[in-house]
Amino acid sequence: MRILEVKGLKKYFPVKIGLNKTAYVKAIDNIDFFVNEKETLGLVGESGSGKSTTGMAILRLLEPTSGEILFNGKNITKIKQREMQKHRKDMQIVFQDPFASLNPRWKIGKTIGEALEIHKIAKGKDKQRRIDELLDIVGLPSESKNRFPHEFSGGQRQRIGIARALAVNPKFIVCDEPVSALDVSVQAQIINLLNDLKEEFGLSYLFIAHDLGVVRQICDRLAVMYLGKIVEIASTEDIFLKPKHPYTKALLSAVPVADPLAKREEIILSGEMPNPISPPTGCGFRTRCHMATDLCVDSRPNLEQIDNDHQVACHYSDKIGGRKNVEIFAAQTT
Amino acid sequence: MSKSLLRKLRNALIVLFGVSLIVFMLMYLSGDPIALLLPMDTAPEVAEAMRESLGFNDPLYIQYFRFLSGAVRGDFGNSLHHNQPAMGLIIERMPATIELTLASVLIALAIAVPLGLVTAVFSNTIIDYIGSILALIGQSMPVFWLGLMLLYVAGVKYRLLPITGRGTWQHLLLPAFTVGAYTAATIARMLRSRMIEIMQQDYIKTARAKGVRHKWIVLKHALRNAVLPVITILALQLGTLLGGAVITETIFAWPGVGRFMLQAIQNRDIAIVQAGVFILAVSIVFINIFTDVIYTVLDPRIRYE
Repeated sequence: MRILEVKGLKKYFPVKIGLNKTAYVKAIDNIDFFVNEKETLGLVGESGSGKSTTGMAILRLLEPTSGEILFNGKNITKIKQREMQKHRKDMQIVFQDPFASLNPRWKIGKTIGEALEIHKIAKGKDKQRRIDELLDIVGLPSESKNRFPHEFSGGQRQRIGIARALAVNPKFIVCDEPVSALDVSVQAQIINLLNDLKEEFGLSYLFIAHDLGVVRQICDRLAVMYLGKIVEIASTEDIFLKPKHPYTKALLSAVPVADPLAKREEIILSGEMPNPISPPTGCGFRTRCHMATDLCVDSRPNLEQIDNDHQVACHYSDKIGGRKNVEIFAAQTT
Repeated sequence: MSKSLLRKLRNALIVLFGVSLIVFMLMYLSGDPIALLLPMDTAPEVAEAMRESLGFNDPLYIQYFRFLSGAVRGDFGNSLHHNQPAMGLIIERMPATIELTLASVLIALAIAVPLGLVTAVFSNTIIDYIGSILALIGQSMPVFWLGLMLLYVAGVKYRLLPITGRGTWQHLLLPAFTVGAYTAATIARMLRSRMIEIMQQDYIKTARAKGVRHKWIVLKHALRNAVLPVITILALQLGTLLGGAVITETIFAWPGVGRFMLQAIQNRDIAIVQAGVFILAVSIVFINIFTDVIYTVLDPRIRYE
């Protein structure tokens, strides 16, 4: 059963150039994916690849330009914001910066409790009990509710952010780089917490990250984004062991491995991601790809099924492989 | 908290000590205080006798301590013009000035908060452009010109409101609006930019993700966070205005401290000027302390340790 299905989603931001001309930044350009129930789909890519925009557009925190978002089989792309409020109970978001995402003037209890009242889940004593319970779930003492966000550490704040998201009993949570702003040791705690919560409450996540080491520990499947498009999507294992897109390979080669003797193929990407206002013709990645040919200039590769649940958008995907990232996979798993 | 308050009070005393020095020096602004007090053609013997009787022949530090001991008791000597204690004369005119100040602040808030909110919520639409231009005009219009125009249009041409003096609330409207217009424009512009900035914050997105209605996001989440710089401007304005809105009070013949001070300056009535400046300084210092306390109440992140 698919909890979320995204079809042909686009989000273009208009940019004024000159007096009368408008260009469009294609932040998300025609992407398709789905998230199964109780599954975690990872969305990885560089800064500016459109990951966060995707997360926001799914929740209608940004209005998509076109495409369809099906949540629990219901098309929520075009419904009014007023009606969308009802669905917000089922879909929540955890932001990257746990401090910025909490109202600095509100005590934690008020921030967590607000959604309970809006969705008429609990009020009065019940609400207080629920707040205590939520804080307990994320491993914070119940006194925390009488304190302000600035009184907590980064990891604690992210726990508060998670408790806040959990308050309404959502089925699906967008985790927008929830650990990128945290220390490595704290990252592990939060990842474990998210994994535990997923088990306990049967949650599905869309987990946005740029760190492959992190997504490895939490995601069932991975989608790799580049320049507003999904270039490869497969199970986490397949992405790590049998990457079929040169960009995926480059990302993987950048994951640090704990073993200093491990020999790996290093692909260092040169240059920056092209300006999304005027993306390159053909394949978006060709400007930085060591395999690019004239074919890549002329025609844009579509996302194609190459294996069970493994899709890739590259003309030369069959020439990629052989080189396995076993040691990365193994190192991260242990 | 109480410790920091004590420290603030100590600092306030230091500031006021500095102010007392400056106020004392006002006497010597033109070099010879006697020349300031007496007409040009006074006989030298009379001037000398006056100098001796007023103690201007004493060493400067003795004069200063005499001045200071008077000042802490609120005694700045008699006004030469009115022949009454200067402080009493100032205090008599304080209610009018306080009334004008409070009214202008209320008018400013009543205009600025809706204007700032609306221009921020509808930013980059025609509503915002009109509102922002209004605010810009309000901020750049000279007070004397606005005062005279209001006087002419509302008072003389259409005879809607009384143009001079103090008494009913109708008397208050024109001068209060004149004084408040600048504050209103400044606050509206500040509020607009703060609101726009805050509406981009993650916690606003969080609130939207929770399902909070837009109206409540603006009022409950954003406005409270945008209010701090407004308090700052208000406090600064309040401090200045309590010293008397000199221009406005003069235009509308408002019997407040500002107009009185101006007359005192014209009459070379030094005692009144000294008392007035001292009162102004004291009120600014205490309003600043009060504002700091309000900050800690409004923003839990601010704690003075």
